[in-house]
Amino acid sequence: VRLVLLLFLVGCASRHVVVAPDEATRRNTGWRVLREPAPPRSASLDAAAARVVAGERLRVLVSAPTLAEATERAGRVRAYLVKRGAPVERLVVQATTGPGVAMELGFSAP
Amino acid sequence: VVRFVLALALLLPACAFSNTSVTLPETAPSGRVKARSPQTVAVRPIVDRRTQARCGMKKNGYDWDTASAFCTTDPATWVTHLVSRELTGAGYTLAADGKADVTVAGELVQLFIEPMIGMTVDIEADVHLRLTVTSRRGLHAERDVYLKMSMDAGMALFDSDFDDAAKRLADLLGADVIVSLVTLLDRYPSL
Repeated sequence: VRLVLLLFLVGCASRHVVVAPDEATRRNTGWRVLREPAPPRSASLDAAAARVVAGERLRVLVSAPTLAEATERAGRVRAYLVKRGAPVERLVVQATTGPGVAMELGFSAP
Repeated sequence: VVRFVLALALLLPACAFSNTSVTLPETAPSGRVKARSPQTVAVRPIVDRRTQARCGMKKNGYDWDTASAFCTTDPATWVTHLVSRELTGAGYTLAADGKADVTVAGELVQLFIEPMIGMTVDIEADVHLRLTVTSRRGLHAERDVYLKMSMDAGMALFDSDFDDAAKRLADLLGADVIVSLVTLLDRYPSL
């Protein structure tokens, strides 16, 4: 009986399995964006870019409900116009208008 | 009494020598999140990249691998359906591959349920799903979803514990996958 009890206790002691606590966290990753999507085509922005390239000074007003969204949208608009040859002159954050935020982008030909 | 106890002691561990089956549940969408910019999504069949065909194993009291647990349905197909259900539950419209704004593909790297033997028995379930999201406008994003679930099975392990573990793992996986996909797709409202 003592022998069986001893074997049982030894068995219990040797049967603990240690799982690294951070294993799941380490292997559960966030998104890896390997390629950003191209901005959607916009006829009005294409026309705006053409006007800047033709020498016209242009201001684009971007509005969004929050500053974060306005910044993100302005970034997309700027990337779109720059890609089509309209260099950014300046980026101005305007005063908050109503519940939203307006952001002004200035463009002019080089 | 002594004979009965001896017989019981011999018979109970014998349960661990017979294979069992695991039912992968067709869970309802978790409903954790709704898409702000619902788009059409195609879900390609998830590819099975698991290194072993079984879905889990049984162990005896000395932590030896003594029997296997086999899924009653193909795990990769099951994950494909789970992802599709979660997407529709979040407001996306499923479309055929090639006609959707976004395509979700993936590889099932691991799906395994096993008991962890100690003073009591815990049952642990792991799933490792590699997701790939592409869009017509060129988005290409990848993510490794790795989830580990552990539950207390009490003093002894029953075959039904494998089903319970699969159910909990399915709930975890569904919620994690849809929160993750909505977070990514809402970042790019026009894909």
